[in-house]
Amino acid sequence: MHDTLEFVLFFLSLIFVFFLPGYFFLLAIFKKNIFRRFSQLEVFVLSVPTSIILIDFLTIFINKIGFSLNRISVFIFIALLLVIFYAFYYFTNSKETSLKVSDKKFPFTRNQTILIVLILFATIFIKTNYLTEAIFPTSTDLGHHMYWAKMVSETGNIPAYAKNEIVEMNGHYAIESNPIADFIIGEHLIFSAVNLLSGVSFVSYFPTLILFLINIFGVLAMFILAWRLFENFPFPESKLFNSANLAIFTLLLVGPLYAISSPQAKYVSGGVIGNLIGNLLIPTMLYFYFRAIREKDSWLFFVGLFLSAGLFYTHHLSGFIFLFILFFIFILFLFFSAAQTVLENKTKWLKNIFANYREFFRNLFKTVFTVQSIAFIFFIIFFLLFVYTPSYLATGAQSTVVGTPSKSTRAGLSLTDFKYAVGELRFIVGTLGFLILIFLNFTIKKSKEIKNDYQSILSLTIISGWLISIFLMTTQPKLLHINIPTDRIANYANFPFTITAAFGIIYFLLLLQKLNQKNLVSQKISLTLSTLVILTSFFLGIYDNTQSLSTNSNIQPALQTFHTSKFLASQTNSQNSSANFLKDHNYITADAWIKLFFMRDYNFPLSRSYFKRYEDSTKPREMCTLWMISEPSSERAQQCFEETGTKFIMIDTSSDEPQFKNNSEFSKIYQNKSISLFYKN
Amino acid sequence: MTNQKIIIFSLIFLIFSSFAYLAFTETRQHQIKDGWIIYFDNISDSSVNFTIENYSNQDEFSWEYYANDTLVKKETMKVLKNEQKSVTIDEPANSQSIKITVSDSEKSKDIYKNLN
Repeated sequence: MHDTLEFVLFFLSLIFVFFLPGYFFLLAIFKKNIFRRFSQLEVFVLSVPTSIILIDFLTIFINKIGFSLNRISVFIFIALLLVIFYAFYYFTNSKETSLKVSDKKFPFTRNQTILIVLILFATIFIKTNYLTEAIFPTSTDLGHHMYWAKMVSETGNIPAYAKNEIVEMNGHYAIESNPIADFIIGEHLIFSAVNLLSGVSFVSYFPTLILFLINIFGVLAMFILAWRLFENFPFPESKLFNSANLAIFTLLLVGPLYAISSPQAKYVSGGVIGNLIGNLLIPTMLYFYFRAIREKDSWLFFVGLFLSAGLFYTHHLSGFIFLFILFFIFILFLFFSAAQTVLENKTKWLKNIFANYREFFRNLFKTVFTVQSIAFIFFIIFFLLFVYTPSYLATGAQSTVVGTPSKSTRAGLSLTDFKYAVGELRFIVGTLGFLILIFLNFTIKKSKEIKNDYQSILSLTIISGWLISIFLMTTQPKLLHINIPTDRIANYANFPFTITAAFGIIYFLLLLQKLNQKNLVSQKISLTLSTLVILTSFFLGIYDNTQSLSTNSNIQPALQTFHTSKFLASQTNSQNSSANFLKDHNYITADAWIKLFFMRDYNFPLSRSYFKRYEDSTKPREMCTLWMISEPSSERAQQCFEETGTKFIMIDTSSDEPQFKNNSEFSKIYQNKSISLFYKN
Repeated sequence: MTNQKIIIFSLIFLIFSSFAYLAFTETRQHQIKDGWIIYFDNISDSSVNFTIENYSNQDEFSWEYYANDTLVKKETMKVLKNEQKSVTIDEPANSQSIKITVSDSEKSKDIYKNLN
């Protein structure tokens, strides 16, 4: 009964934190025109990323004006925000009396709707199946992040990101607190908000389910982006080749196929919070910017701007990548626009090129430089300077991502590695689809309304800028002067390649249909080849899923770790012990979660890291944590124990007990199936 | 019902079902299913009192108490699965070391304090 109530509270908190703020925000901005601009499905999908950013800004603001973050303050301020948005919506709508909801602009037929529901079912079913064995909180990254989220919930304040580290000075060791640049507040506040409202423990299902929700809406964001990107695309006349089918194929390729491998369910169970939010926000921002420019709508641009600002409070890598995407989109727009003009005009190229540019920039200026956007830019500068500065800016860490690659892991992927990172099918078909997209864009006759207009190349430009920028960042980081682990960028390539792969597959099916109509290919062959293409897509996607399934469950070993942690926490808390504590990262499962049982410091307990890290000459590190477990009797280890105040050592019994066993300076105070706890006398 | 609403309500239903299933699955996973655990009741003083938590199918345990490597006491006890039992032992004076060895029919574990 208690579990059921807890789950119901959790689910209601999800609606309250992840849906309602965004929904009311969109309602306040677009008012009763909202369902003329968006379908209901779009509003449903877009409410989630918008809510995430709203909650981040709101909780930072609440804390800044002096309120502690607790269940009551978070509830009241979110409720107040909803009331303000609703009042704004209600009192600025005098002419119209009701929301007009129309299905006319929703291009999906009943059969397509059923297909979409089936694809969504398969997507959620496959991911759920994988997460059944991975829902238990064990992953290292998630453990690290949840420490900070729990810190916010326990203290009621925005944390100062810092950790205790062992430093060596003149042959002596000491503990020193140093700032951490890797964590960003937006990754943690949404978890704190849900925890405060629902009361569900951090060491439970709830962090992973939040990431699962973000992942599902990332998939949906891709679906609506693909649909809108190709809404006005000059497709060859065919029932098959249209934006609705393209969106469905995109959903298929990003949903049930490749549902588990990075950056999908693996990132959910792995607690890769920033990337998952980035993969939700990037398509969403592209959606808003694309539609803002196409429809010359300044409010759509405003929401895009709002989300972009939020991204820099949530995940700096995604923000950095998004800046590159925008830069490439801009450059490619200039290029494609000129190319289109040259192809469509036999004379006066330069004049026409600049006429197109002029028209574009005039409209862009009207869309961008509006009261609301300028006011928001001032607001965000004020927020940045006087309310909260993200830790990576405060510590100057942003400069470390620019420059010549400093390690082999940052030197870029080969084309073969890139192919596997994206998925073979998506890479090959996506590349072909991309080339076909360029070809069609410049060869098909456009309707009179969009002919010679920059609007006809917008979709192509967005896709190209997105795809080419990430491709170059991953394979040629030196060229772009960026210094980021390459595999972390590679996962961002999946999404644009998915859209072009969907384009490629549908075009191939169309080609077969055309060849059949012209009697160049028999219906049997056409049907067989079509089936073959679809089955191959299924096979490769599902094969990737099966390859990504984990066979080893680490739930029971993690429970041993948690039991040891609870035991030591209860003993040391009852005695107000200030002694330091060291654990091993090599052999102990879910050790990143130990710190949540103590909440004394991000680096409490100290950790013996992976052995290879102590041998990394490019990054010299302290050796105490290695010596204190690997050779506890040595003189240097004894000095480390003494000077760091380390009294408790948690180790894997089978791997590390012998070196403690025969040393009379240690007492063994606890032993479970796999772990022993030693006390330094 | 419009096509959009069909998709939205299906999504809500799918998300709710999946989340409920995963949440209850995870809740059930929070149970140690194998092995047993021993620890001192107080880790920082010289007391010998200890606890056995049993999560295995064995429920018969024998324990031995050594002071300065000399066997002082030996007993057997029953600890049912998913239960725990504490053992209180009178503390002898002037022990340099104390050790508790606990065994079931297959394995043995020990905990000890060096008091020097």
